[in-house]
Amino acid sequence: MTDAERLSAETPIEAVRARLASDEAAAALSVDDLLIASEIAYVSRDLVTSVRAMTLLVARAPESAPFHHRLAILLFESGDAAGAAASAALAVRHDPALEPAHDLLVQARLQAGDIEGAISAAEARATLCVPSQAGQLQMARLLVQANRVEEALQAVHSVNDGGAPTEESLLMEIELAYRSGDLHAASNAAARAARLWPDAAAPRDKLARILFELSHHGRAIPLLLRLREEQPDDASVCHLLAASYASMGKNRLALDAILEALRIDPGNGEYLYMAGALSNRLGERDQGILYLRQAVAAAPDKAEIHVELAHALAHANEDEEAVEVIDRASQLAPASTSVRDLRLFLLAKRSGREPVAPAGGSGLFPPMPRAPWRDRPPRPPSRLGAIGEQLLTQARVLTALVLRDFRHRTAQGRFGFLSLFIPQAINILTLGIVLSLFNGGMPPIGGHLFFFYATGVMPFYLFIHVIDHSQNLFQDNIGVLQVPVIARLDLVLAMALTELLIGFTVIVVTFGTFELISYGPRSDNHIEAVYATLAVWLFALGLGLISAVMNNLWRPWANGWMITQRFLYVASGVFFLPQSMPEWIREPLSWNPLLQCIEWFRTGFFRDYEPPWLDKSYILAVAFGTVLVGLILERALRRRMRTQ
Amino acid sequence: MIRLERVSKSYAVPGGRHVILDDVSFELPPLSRVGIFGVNGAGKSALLRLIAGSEMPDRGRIVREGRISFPVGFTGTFHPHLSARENVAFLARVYGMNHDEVSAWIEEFAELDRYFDMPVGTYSSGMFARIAVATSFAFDFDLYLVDEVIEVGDASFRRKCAAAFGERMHSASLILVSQHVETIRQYCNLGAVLHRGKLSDFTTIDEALETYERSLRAT
Repeated sequence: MTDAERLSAETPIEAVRARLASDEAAAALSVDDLLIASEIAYVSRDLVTSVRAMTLLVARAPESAPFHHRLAILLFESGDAAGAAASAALAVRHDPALEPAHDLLVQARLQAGDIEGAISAAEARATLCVPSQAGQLQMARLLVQANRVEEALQAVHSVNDGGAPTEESLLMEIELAYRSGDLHAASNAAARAARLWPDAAAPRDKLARILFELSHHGRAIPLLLRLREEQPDDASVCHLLAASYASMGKNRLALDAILEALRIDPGNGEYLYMAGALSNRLGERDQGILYLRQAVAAAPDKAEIHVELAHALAHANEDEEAVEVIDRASQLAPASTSVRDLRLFLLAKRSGREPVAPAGGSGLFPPMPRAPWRDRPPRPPSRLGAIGEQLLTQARVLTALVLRDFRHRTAQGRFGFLSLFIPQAINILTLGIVLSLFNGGMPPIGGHLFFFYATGVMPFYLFIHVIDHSQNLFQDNIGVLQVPVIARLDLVLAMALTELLIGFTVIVVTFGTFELISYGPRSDNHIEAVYATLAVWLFALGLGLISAVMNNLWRPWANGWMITQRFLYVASGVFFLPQSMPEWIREPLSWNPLLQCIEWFRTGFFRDYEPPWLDKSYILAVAFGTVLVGLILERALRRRMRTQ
Repeated sequence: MIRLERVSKSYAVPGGRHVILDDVSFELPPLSRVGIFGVNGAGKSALLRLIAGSEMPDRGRIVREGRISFPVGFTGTFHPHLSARENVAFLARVYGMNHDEVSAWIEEFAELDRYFDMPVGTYSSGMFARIAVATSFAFDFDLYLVDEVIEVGDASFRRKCAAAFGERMHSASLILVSQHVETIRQYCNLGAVLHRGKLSDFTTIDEALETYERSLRAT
């Protein structure tokens, strides 16, 4: 065969291989020949020959960035990541704006295991080329690979914050924020993703799981319910739903959800454990024990399942088995103090079932009184029920304290119930007798001297009595405060209620008597006097609370009150009307809330009496304000109060 | 159920503060009878007051579930001007129990005859102790707090006290603070030691006693 015949019989790749076989033959090829040879070899998947041709080409044109780039591609495809990186670096050096060379450099260094090098290449790309979202995301991915989560988060955040985020970029931000421990940022990104792609399940799934971890169970539940519809075979969604319901105290719904998870994944120990614990909480102990036994079989190395089972068995008085189970738990978690405590308790319970003394008192005493709540059927705990129970206890405590106080007051002295009227009666009589010597025996208003003084003395005494009795209230009742259900506020409220009852009774009896003997003016506005009585009582309750707290901590308070009380007697209009005072005294006196209360009380008895300085809203503001200050003071100083 | 979560309590004393509880946490298991050993001034009574809620911790939280007694045998709840019957009626109202039934039981148990309707301020100290202990047993609590006193009076009355208290222990828990080993051994099935503000873990009585003896030697 002649040369010509041989050449015409060669395939192109064979021709290329022949021409590149020796350096001499290759030297004879032009730049274009080498380029074509490389491409022919590449198309024929002979990467070795293709690389050789391109290497020769690069040697001929060492300044050509496209040739270096092409060589880099060939080396990369042939598996020589380090060589590809070197060629791509040369390409970038000769043409810094060649974006594909930058990308290849990043890829090649990454493949060569040089993550930091890849990051610096990506940084160079961002500096030298037009910034792109894809580039920033690539940078973020590299930073993640380099375990530089915070920087990756920053990079992906700037992508999402700056332009239009993609689903992938937002999911990446969620993941990174979650990994860096910033659950709130993760939740915000997930919420944004869920808003942007309302039909996509992935963002919703992430958001639900993050909200769950943030304990925002109320927000997680609707998302989880939708996910459960969309992914009916995903047991983990049902599990999260159950845990969310359980955290909100909705144990029945939680049990339903975890049973759904068990339907999907029947042997899962975690789900069986939860089903058992929830059944126990709902009082379905037999079913709970059944689930927990299955959970122990499914996950025999989980100490917490054994502990829950031991608890359930102890409640069911299966003490022997409870001890066996807790023994296994203590083998699994020998360092756990809670397991050790429970074990000790169960051992003691098993050994201590026999009573300290025989039941029935061996005939030494009659059957012991039994609390009514012991005979009530157990009810599942409910928030409303607990509040109702608390209110009932509060009402019982207040009633008991009021009756005790009332009984104590009327039991003292010889006059019994009448003794409640003595201070007011003496005061009215004294005032009447002494002041009848002045002004021709005429009161400042109306024609009945004793009636007028009664309208001042009654509210004044109600006020004074509440505060007087509050001074040593906490010290005098230290013993009563040892009863756990009685609190300091109960004492103040009960004392004030007792005073209100007594004061109101004295007012009704006194003015009723005046009415019966037709002594005093006629009025159909008595309801104003009732309102005034309640207002002065509220004001006294607030000041009484403050006094009880202050006198407990600072004894000179009581002396200060004694002086103030005398001043108030003179300055509160008990035996005069403010209108009989000069303007310069009346103006400051009208700020006295007690004087205002007494004036209000009088409007209920003297038909045409409408003092212009009377401001009922001022009285109520002061009264409620004082109560508020008292409550805050008690709360703030509670820990410093004397208890012995 | 009682749970203490990182509770601390101290009192001002000349020259500083006396620490009673220092970051103490524990949970009392249901139907357990715990005896707490501790030297004088260790803070045993303060611990009971904290559990009862009559005193507040400086720091930390105390979670209470169920009905907790006032200290067994405590006379401070009695108003001296009122009769035993009236005082019992007060407590029965507070706890929502039938006061006729409770009064009748106490009247028979305490054996005070006509004194039952006289002001308790007129009682001798022995009578006062009897009525106080009988009142504590008459109320049906979930947790009884005992500061040393369970049995008072003569041998026969003490026997009655032990029997009544034992009967209550069928359906209740107990926290008993005492320096008397025998009292704790008689009534409790778990023990702990309060020493320098720290409460040891609940253990068997014998183990708690060993801890107590070690702390006494170290003092």
